[in-house]
Amino acid sequence: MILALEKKKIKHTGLLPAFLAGALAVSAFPVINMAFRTDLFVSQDLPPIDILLNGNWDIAATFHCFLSILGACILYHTEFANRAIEKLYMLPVSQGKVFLCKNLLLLLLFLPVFLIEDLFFLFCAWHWFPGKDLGVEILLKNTAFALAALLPVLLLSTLIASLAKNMWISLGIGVIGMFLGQMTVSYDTLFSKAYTFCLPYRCLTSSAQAEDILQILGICAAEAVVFAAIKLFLIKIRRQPV
Amino acid sequence: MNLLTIFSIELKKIRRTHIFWILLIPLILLWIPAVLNVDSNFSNAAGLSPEMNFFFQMYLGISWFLYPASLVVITVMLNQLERTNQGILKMLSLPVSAAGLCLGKFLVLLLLSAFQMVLMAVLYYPAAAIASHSAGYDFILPLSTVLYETLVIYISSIPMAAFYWLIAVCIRTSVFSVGIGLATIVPTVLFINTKFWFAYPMCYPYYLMAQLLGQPQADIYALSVDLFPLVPVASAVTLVCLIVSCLCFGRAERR
Repeated sequence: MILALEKKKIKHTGLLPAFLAGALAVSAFPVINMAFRTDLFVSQDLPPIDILLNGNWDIAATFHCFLSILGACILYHTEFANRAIEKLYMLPVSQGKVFLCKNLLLLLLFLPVFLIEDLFFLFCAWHWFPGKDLGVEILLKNTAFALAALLPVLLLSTLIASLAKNMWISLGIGVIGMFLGQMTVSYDTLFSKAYTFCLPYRCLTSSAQAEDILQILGICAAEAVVFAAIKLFLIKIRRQPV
Repeated sequence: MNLLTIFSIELKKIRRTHIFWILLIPLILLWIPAVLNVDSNFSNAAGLSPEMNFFFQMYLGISWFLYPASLVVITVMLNQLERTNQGILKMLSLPVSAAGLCLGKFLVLLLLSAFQMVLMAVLYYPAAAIASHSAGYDFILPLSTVLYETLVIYISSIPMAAFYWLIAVCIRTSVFSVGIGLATIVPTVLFINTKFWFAYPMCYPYYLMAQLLGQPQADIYALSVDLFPLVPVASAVTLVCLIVSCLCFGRAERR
């Protein structure tokens, strides 16, 4: 029921068109890259989908992080804007449930985003690599993996957005966190493997090892549980409910 | 009221916004990995000296991502300050020109971004000193070089700031104004490699930094960029953005 209410709340925020526009923007990158730098990509001796993912996933991940920070900020900004959240406290709904439903809604919004991107990746593979295996299976696996890697990012940005009343503070902290991820993602340290905003930059190609994938998925699950637990704990202890 | 008075009133409004911390903290976080990974500066493939490599790695990072994103965050703040309690309605009913108010707010944006660049230059020195101490190599560049690069980033970012201010004023749905702002940062990596980079204001700082990086170290002050298409296009973009934003300021509220 709360999910249905949350869905109603995003009606006039323009979140849905923003996510669709974001998906189209991400999808434009592989097409532009392939159209202008065809030789660079076609000459590589890898399965087509691996070439496409390696070449474009960084930018796609940047966009996904932006979208999740923005979505989280907007979802809580609508609550804070006219003090709707104070009315929400009076209602017989659990705050934790509201928080989790907002996350679930964002995750559901990301499904069409990934599907659109997959279609464009398939188009690129079909158009510029004729006669080769398209790799639909890898692409679907990568989509599931990306959704799992995005979950801790969503929870963290929603957590930040729910703590600050002013949107620029939550947006600022989100941007700082994302910048730190972007700076460190290329380093070979423990931090860049486990940091939340570095996780969406990993992608699953056909050469990926099962142990690596399982390790990343484990990190994702652990971080997701930790952030949800922090939020539930904060709801319990803060006098002014958050 | 002249512009200066409006500007000083705008400065009062940002006193309790915590924006200073949001501008300062990323800069501190930025230098920590640089200091920790100081050894990687000695293995530069392009033959850049270690101290220049140390300096440019961070300045490229800030000019590509952090600085434009901070501009977007500041525009969000400037807008939300007025909209949360309908302050803009009261502002528009005062005998002050709306264009003046709009320009006053834009000056605050310029001041805050200047503040961030100054902090960046100031924080470079302790970071370089710690790095020199731990690596046993002198990483500190002369003050004139640091100031010059900082000024290049700042001045080249003014058209970008005007563009973001235009978006923030004209698009009232915050998800779109912020979304467009953040989304325009990403394609800069593509645009700096094309011939038409000067048509895209968001890539000026990054492009100029990349150009400076490619130059020999001796003539670091001679910027080998054709000023002809850049300066007219940049000033035209700035002017058009400012004029349109002055015209649009408060239009939705005045209806």
